[in-house]
Amino acid sequence: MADSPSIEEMSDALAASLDASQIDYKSDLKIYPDCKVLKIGGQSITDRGRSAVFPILDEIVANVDKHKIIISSGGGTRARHTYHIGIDLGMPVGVLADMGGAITVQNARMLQMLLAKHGGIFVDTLEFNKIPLFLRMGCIPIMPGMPPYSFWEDIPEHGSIPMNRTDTGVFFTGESLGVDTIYYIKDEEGLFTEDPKKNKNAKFIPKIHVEELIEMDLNDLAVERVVLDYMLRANSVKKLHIFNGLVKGNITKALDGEEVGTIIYKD
Amino acid sequence: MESKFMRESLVDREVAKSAVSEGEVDILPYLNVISIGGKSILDRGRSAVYPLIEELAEVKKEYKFVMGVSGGARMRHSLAIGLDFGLPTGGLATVVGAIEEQNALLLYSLMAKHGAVRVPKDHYTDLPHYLENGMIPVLTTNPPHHYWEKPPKRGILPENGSDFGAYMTAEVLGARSMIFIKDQDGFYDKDPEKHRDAKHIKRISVQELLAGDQEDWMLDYTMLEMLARARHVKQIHIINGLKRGNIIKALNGENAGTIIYKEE
Repeated sequence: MADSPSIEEMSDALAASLDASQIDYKSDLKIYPDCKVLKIGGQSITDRGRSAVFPILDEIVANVDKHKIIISSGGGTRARHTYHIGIDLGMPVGVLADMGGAITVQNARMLQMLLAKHGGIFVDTLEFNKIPLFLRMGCIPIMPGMPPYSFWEDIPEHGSIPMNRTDTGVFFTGESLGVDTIYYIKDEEGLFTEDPKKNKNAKFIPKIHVEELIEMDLNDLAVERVVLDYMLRANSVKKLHIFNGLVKGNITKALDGEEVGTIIYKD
Repeated sequence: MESKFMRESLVDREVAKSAVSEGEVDILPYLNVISIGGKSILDRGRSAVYPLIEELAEVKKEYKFVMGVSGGARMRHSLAIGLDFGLPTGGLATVVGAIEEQNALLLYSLMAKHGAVRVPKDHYTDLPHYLENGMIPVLTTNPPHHYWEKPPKRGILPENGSDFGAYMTAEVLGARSMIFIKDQDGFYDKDPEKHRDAKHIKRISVQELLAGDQEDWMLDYTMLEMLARARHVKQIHIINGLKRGNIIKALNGENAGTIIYKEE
């Protein structure tokens, strides 16, 4: 009888399998590409309360027959207050990220209650793999927008505000599902050269390549800075569509493929 | 409710820069984080693992620590199969964690009689309870990124693995040390198993290390990037777990292999 391989030989063989498989890798599996992933802004929409949120949810519900929709929540004013208090008390970034996540859970739960009668269902990040079931049943999955990094949030170069927040969370929800567009519902027309709430001379940018936008090195952005870097390296997401959800009809148009705000694209 | 950032964009550079703590809190300043290599130690089986566990049980008398163990050979095989299926980065990251769970269960089972206890991520606030009572929490150090794993900057594999996870646990808790146990005497300028002329590096700054072009980083590259931005744990130890006596030396603060530190 031949000697069976030693534990070390077996481990080496198993580990070596990885070297060969890296050569031909194509990340071509789209897990669930036929759905629309959209983020409802925290400060821009949810914090405005009923007057802003109800018409937006009505419009989303009106589109459910045509599109499979997944909603991701934002943080907003309470997340900002959280960071302020947390930083004042000397909390590390990871603790702030964990605390910030709780606010997006609140917002997702509130959106779920508002949409329950239309199939709104709260989906925790750990339940990601149940999304196909919910969509097949005609539900509207609503996820907390904060990515689950928690204590494992990257340390920023400056300051203590977590760099990966809800724009990042919704981006990777879409990227992992394999969609090509992420929709960001905000209270401004889209991307401007400066914050339009502070500077009247801010210029609107209707469409821009992600590399060009990074090159412009704007001091402020309508989307988290890190998302642009992730987009460069991502396999599925090719477009960020930022638009004003307070204008009736924009959500419907955007979901139908019309460019109603700013498009940040690649390729 | 009035707050500093209330009407500000958190993306604004000036706002981000101004959000600085006057000294962050060390949450568990007595904590030591010990990470055991999966491929380098655990996959060697009894001959490597049993003596190491005896040594860890011994040092527990003097030091409070948590432990983690990385995935090793089966994790690499999971990645190999996942790559063949064409899984996205987030899918790969979601799959690999299970192997580390297996290894953590092995470690727990071997060390339970010395006070080991499995502590999942959402129970980290219980750590003081275990540590103050002389127990050894065994963590799953792989970070919780899952489907939210970021696309890699280098190559095609998920970059935030166990080393990153273990280090970030130490960093966010403000631990007193971070020790990686491997099967070689520390860091070399190239893989000593492939190159006879590989030079051992006793001490090196992470900035210098990152500026070079290493063929094999030995540890997660993302972990080294975080070390360069460290606010609490400003050095890490790499020691050889196949030789006795190194763990206690590292816990005493001696350089028993390689120290990679943040230059300030």
